[in-house]
Amino acid sequence: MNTDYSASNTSEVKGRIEVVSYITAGLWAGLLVTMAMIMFLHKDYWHLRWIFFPLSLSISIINMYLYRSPSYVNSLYKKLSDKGSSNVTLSVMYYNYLHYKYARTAICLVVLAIIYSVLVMYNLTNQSFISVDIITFAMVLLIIARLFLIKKRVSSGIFGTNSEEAIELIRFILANSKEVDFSDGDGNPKNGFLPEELVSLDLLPPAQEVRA
Amino acid sequence: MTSSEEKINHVLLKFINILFLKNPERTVLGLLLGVVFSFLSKLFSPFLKTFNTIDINEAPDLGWVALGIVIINLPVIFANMVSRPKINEEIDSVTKLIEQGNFSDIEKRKLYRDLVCKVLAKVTLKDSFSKDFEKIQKKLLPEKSVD
Repeated sequence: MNTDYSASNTSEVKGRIEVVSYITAGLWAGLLVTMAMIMFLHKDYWHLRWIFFPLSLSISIINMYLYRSPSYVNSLYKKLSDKGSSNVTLSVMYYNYLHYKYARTAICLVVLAIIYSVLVMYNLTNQSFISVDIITFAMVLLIIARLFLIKKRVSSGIFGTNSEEAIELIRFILANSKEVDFSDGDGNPKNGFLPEELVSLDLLPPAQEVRA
Repeated sequence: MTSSEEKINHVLLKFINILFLKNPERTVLGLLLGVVFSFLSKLFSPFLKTFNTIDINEAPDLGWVALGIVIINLPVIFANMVSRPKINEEIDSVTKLIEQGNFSDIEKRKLYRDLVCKVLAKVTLKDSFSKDFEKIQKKLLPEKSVD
């Protein structure tokens, strides 16, 4: 199992990944919208919905998985600089871990939807069970939405300043303390969080003080 | 993020967590379980027709899916009802103190940050200590480590 959840948080890498992912997402979204328009306007193509649902799901997942995955971020980061992953904070690591985990479950959902639509296409089930496709679609959308919301919280430094989120982070630390190296190169612990925007800088503990 | 944006963000996250998607792996398994239930009900329909009081064959498919998701998430529901230690007693008592104490929002945030950073420091210290210990042990006892 890949336990290297670290990724960079430099603005350069972020910018490149955002541009690539937005271009590909835009292209795929345009294709899917035209497909949907053809499907809904011409009733003859309505039977194609059994292909349309799984295809749109899998495209969204592939886009999410390829262009935001930790390994991709790591490879980009290594190309750009030789610093290693010393800038990574704990919250960024947790976000990458969640991304990895959610992408796997989303892929399982897509496989389920594809299997089911094949069954329906070849009349292997007795009745039309469209709810499976709709539920998988809704669940994948909600998973992506949760990742997006957490990403916003992590990048603004708020994630983990809540009782529930602090407990989530501590659980993550204790569960992975044997497999993942939480120290930076010098043997000190990593920084916990990105700097918070809302709180004025005087109130925040400096990095050295927290480590001590 | 401004404070209003943060509030909206928090409410949306809570909404998703309530839909059991905080732990999506469980919910996906529940979905599969629901599909299996509906398949089994169709498979055993001749046997199930012998019951006069319950008509299982007429149950909607969405009902089976909902049943599967609820069954898989039963441990989560019970854990919310019964107050068990979430991680260990020390950290639970610290979070209780922070929640019940008379702190402002900014102070609470700072305290939670400190708590997480201290746990992180403890774990890394333990790791580095055990690695150093192994190194010294190998240096001092080369013969034993070979055996």
